[in-house]
Amino acid sequence: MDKDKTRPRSAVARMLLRVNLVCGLLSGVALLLMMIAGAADVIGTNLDIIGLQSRPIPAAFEFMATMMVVTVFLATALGQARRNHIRVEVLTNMLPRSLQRVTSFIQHTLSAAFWVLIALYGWKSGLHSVSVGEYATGLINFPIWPARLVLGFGATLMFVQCLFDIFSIFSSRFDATDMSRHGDTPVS
Amino acid sequence: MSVEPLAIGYAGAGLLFVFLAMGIPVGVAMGVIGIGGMLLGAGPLLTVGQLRVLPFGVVNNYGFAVLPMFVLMGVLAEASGLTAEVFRAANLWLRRLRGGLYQAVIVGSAVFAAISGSTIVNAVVFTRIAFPEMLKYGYSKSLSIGAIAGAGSFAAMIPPSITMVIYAIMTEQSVGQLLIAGVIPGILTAVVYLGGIWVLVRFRPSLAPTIEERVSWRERWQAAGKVWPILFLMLLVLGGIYTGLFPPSAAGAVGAAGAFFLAVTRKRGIRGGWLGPALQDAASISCLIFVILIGGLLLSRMLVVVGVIDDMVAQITAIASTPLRFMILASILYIVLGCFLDTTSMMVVTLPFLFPVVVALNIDPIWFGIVLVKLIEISVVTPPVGINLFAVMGAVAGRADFRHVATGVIPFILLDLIVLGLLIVYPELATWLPKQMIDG
Repeated sequence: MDKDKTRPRSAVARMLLRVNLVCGLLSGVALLLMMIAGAADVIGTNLDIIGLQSRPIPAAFEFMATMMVVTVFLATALGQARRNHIRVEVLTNMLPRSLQRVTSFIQHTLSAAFWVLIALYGWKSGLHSVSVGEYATGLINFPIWPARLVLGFGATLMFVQCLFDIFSIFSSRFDATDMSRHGDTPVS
Repeated sequence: MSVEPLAIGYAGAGLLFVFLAMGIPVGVAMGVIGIGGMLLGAGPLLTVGQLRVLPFGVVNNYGFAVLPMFVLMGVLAEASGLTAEVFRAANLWLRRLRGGLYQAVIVGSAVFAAISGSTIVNAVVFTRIAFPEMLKYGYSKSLSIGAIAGAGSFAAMIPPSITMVIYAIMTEQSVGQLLIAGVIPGILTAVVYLGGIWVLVRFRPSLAPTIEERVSWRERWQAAGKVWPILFLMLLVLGGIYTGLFPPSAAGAVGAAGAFFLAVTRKRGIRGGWLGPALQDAASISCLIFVILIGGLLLSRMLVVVGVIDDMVAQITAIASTPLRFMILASILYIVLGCFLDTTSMMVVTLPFLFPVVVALNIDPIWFGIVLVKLIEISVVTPPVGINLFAVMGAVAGRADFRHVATGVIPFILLDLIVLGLLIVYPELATWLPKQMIDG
């Protein structure tokens, strides 16, 4: 029964969840690639300790920075869908259900406003970056535009998720307990 | 009628607390106020510039890669199941002492904190592993929970600490120096906890019955032998940073790769469904922190451009004219705030206001960072909203109530206050080791 309750009912909700899950997976893979690149670069750079010639991985720093953008921005919408984003719930949890609807509406509307701005200027910068072929100079000229486009895409996905959450408040599926059910990701 | 930028800044700061009370995500609350305040107080040109540059600049920064890498290292170390081995070894070595299981929790948590930067993970994992064992031998329920929650907070101080990295990012300090600065205060806290428990159990023996079961030396050494990978990983990461062999971000990657290798070895490959959730957890935690950092930095920029920071520095320095007074006032502020806010939010919300005062009063930023982290350690175990208390409550699964938790942490809060006093009176405890760094 619980499973049925948490499974999205509409086709839009199912599609959004699927996109979020794929992006969440890609986010995790990006983290793994960051780890591999970083560790390989350390080993390559310090080969001289064992008498071999140092071989740092070209553009390892830039690659890690790009993967960090993928990790952060592709996981944002999934975090919103799971109500993982950190918030203070002491007061809102004590409110009656009708007022919880109001605070949820304000929460999602402000989130949507914030993320649409990040997305808008993210896309503008991303498209400009593509048009000029922006890159970081180094041993290899590492392209920056893919990371900028990922930022725009991730922020847009987050904006869509916020719109969906606003819509959910007005549908019969609003569940004020969502936050406590999902918001248990340990941070620090 | 035009409104003074300063008034806009202060109105924004006040509105932030209203937004937080309404449950608006912390990063969004700070970001929206930052953008709104900048737009009204400094005009659209600066606001658009910040929106274009800041979110990408924060996340596309190799120097900050240390954060997700340390998160990944901790998550993989936990997934590897090494924590159980750490507690088992500490338990076998210390159980014959009176209060030995408390000591085992403290030593085990301190060792695990050296590869995991999350206080909640530490507290939850040790509740699951150690709490049943403590109940089995008739240990005090309250003090057992208190020891687990208190020792769980070591992860904030002992490197690799996520809290310390966030402080470094917000204040533009050296990540490496801060991490190394946490070593002595971290060990000191563990030693004070061990001493405190020893004294407490000596005066109230009923808190910890003696365990009569004999353990052979062979068993002890075998258990200790299984802990060496953690010690190796810890030495590799800290040694690399301390000697300047690699920068903190690279150290994070090496640490994460080491934890990945250990997990793969112990789980006999990447099958079994452990890797996917671990990666997703690490990505999710990293994402949450970066969203807060983006919001916090937007807020911080706004407070600077509308003049709130200059004004606040003048006002705070008028009240707290000496570093010692300021440190005491800041300590009270963080202990109170810690009752209501989680650690990351607390730091990101307050540092834009307080750090400029630290600079104005010529306080060593590394020292202030360590004192701040100590305060955060206290705040995560302070009722009613100490986050570690809830983590432990969730993990005890009905075998104790909140009364046990709230009373059990009191001795550890008092011990933490002793350490806090020592750190304030003797800044060298925090600043000496980073000064010895080769690439400091």
